[in-house]
Amino acid sequence: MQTVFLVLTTLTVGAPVVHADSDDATWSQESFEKELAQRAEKVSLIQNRKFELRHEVTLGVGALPADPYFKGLTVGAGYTWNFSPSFAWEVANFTYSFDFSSHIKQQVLAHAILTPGQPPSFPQITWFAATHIVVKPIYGKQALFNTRVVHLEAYLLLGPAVVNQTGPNDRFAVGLDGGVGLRLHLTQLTSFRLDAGDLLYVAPHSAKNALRFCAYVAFNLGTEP
Amino acid sequence: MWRRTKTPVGLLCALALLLVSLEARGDEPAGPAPTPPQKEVDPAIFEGAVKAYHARNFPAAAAGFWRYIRAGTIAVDKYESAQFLLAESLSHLGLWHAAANYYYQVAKTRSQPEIFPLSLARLEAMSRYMPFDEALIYKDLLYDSEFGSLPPVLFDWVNYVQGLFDYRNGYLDWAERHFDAIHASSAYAMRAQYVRAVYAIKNSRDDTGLKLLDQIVASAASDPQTKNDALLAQARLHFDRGQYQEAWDTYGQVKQIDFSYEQAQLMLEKAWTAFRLHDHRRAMGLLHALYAPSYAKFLLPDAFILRGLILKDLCHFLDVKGVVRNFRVAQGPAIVALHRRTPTDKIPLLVEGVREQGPLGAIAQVIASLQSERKLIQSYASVWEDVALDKNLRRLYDLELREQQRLWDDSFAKAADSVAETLLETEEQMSLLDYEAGLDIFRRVKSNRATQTVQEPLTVPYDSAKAYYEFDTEFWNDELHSYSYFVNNRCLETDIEP
Amino acid sequence: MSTTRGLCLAWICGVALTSSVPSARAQSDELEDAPRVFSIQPRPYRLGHEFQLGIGVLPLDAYYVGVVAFAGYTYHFSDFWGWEIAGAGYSANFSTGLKSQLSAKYGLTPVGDSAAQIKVMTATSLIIKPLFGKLAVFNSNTLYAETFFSLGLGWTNKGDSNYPAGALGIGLRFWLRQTVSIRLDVRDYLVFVKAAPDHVLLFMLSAALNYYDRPDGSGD
Repeated sequence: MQTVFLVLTTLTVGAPVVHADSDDATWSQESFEKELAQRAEKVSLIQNRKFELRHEVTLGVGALPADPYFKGLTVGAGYTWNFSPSFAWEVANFTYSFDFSSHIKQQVLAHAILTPGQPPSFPQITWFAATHIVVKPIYGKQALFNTRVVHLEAYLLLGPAVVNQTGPNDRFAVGLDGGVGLRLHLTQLTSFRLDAGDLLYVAPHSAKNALRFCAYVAFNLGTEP
Repeated sequence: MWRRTKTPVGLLCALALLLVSLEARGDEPAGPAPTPPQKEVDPAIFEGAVKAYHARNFPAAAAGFWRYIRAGTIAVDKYESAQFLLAESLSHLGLWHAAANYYYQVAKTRSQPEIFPLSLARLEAMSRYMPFDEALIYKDLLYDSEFGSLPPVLFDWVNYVQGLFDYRNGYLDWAERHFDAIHASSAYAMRAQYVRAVYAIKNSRDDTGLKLLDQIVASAASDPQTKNDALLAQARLHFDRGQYQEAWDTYGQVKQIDFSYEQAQLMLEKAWTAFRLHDHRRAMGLLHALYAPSYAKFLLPDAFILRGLILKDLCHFLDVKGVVRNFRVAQGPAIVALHRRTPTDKIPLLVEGVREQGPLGAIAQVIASLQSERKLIQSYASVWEDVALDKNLRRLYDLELREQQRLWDDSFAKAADSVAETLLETEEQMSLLDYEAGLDIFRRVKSNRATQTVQEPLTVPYDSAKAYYEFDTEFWNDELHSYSYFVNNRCLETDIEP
Repeated sequence: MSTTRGLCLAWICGVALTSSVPSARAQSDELEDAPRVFSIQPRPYRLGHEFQLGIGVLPLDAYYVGVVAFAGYTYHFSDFWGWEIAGAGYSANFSTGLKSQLSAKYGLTPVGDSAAQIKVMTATSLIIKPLFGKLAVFNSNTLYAETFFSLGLGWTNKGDSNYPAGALGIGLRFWLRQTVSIRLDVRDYLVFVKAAPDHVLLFMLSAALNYYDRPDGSGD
């Protein structure tokens, strides 16, 4: 009886609001009405969305600009499965880096020639491969000079990566790659992506990060006409 | 305080109606099966169910409360509490109609004063947010009942419903007494005002109606729906009186709150108003918005006529023929079926058209809601089959569906005939439009006597306080009322009479 | 009689089919006359006097990472043009450890320009805002955004000397309300230490406070 009384007094109209997400199952009138309001069929903000990605193949060029000893000019390719407008899985992304010694490295090597001993080695990224979960929270449009409409999308990427480096040690490293990106839709089949991210990788003897930028052309396959 | 029926005959009629409504629900309104009187029920069943409820195990809680109800009778201690908590559990599980039924039973019985206002409050909220059985809640429970002292919101609601039904039945004095009892600051006061306004307009007292509608629009107490309804009514009145600018300004204040048939209808009415104001761009823009997926499914034959008229005014005669062609493709099968005297309930387009609007639209929503909730019962069958709660709920839903279907069947023929008539009239008008466009295409004009107004090419300012988004197949919901359609006027002016 | 009648009919048909009818000629312009549909909406947010406070990073130098505190004032003439009258950033620099590593491992120390660090950068910039639009966040909420470009001149303090600099930038603005927006800027400061400029890339996130005082309808 006491339990019933407790339940019922808490439910009394005009009683203080009990938050719907509290452990207590008693339901305030406000929460009840909120639950009812959520029954209404949700209509999405955009109807007949113009660009829907499905199977996406990317080809791109980029840079690894931040290492003090080398600068990498990268080429990359990837495949992404866009299973919903807001989420995707970049199943595989492979990037190969053409490395160029930096001014600092050249000076160090020049100095090292004059000193006895083994010349120093500077591990450089040869290639890295990653798989990412892609979250695409933002899709929209902007009017360019008020005469044309461009469609944009912003997304976040995160996933594990494998890095291959030069050098006798630390050949392979595993790590995490994350970043942000902006997509500009060009046609139903093509779009332009700009990614910026950070590759964090850990080898047995070192932990490093590499800032990366990449520009891709993305080909959208498998959409309905 | 006793009121209600004016004469003994009326009292007998009310009682008869009550009996008939109870009978229409079948043996019992989905309540517990008849049980031997005064049987003691183990309180542990109830306690266990309350425990499950607090642990948010609503299927188990519902099963427990149902078991308690089924084992006992109304005389048993905590019987109504069990009914109420069963309703709460069912609400948590998304079985709103079943919950409404048990809230109704608690509110009807009224033997526990601490639960009664809670049940009524739940029903009041449901009446605002979901399609529900009006006969059960409004007619059976509220109308013809005395409730004594109630919290203000419920007091206003009850008086509003009673007043509304008195208006419908022609008892104006009783209705006014109820409406006057509503607190002035309550949203129901403005709804009552709306009822008065509609009554005034129906009885050709437009000025009185307009004044009442003005009060609703100006009042801070009005809820958004009532305000919208009032603005819509005002706009329509202005349109009927030929005050197109006022109508346009008032339509502009009506908010788009959902994507219902009524909103599509609003868009079409705005388009007609813009047409009357010779603003073809806005009119065609509004018609363009009707292509949005949320509106494209609705039957709006008038939209074709308006589109054809505007294009004809702009001398795009081939496009007029295109509109006629589109109409015939979209509505042709239904029109052919009507010509062949096919029963209206066998014409899918007509049935859909009836389902969208008016009282039958409301019934269709209740039916759809009942059907979707009935499917949910299966999800909990494993927990409920021991106590036969799933069987009971299915029976409850089946009874309700049968009742709603009966109401549907009663009114369908008339509503379908009205839709059919509209379709056939539109077909006639489209044929006329087609004929006139054909004539206009071949109308001869001497080239040396004809002039065409040189139109400025469309220039969109790159630096403007306005944003111009050119339509490219995407419909953004906030843009639906802001489209403008730019097309050249191809008409030639001549000083020769045709 | 019937022959005459037939000839008349033929003549009528011939005239009807062959006479030049201006409206028929107008029909042939159909393809050039395609309708265009625009959604025309007043801009919900407009900029007037903008005060910017931001935090940025200079990430690309090998020897240090600069954390920049930035402040600026921009006057927006219209919805297309603006002038960042003054924008200045102060960089708090943190060593990457490379200097000490080079010294310890190889006995090398950077000198001259290599060692110099950016401390202050300022510029006055023209702002062009050709893109304005809206974004759907998870297809349920609307966020208004604009893309803008900046082109400016100024100076930077690098090491102990001041050098002229150009500034090229691109940015995105997201409105939270009329008075507050969030900006993402990427700027390339071209520092003319010598004839070929050094590129100093600044990534910045800032809050902008806006005061708009023009009458409604201006700029329409």
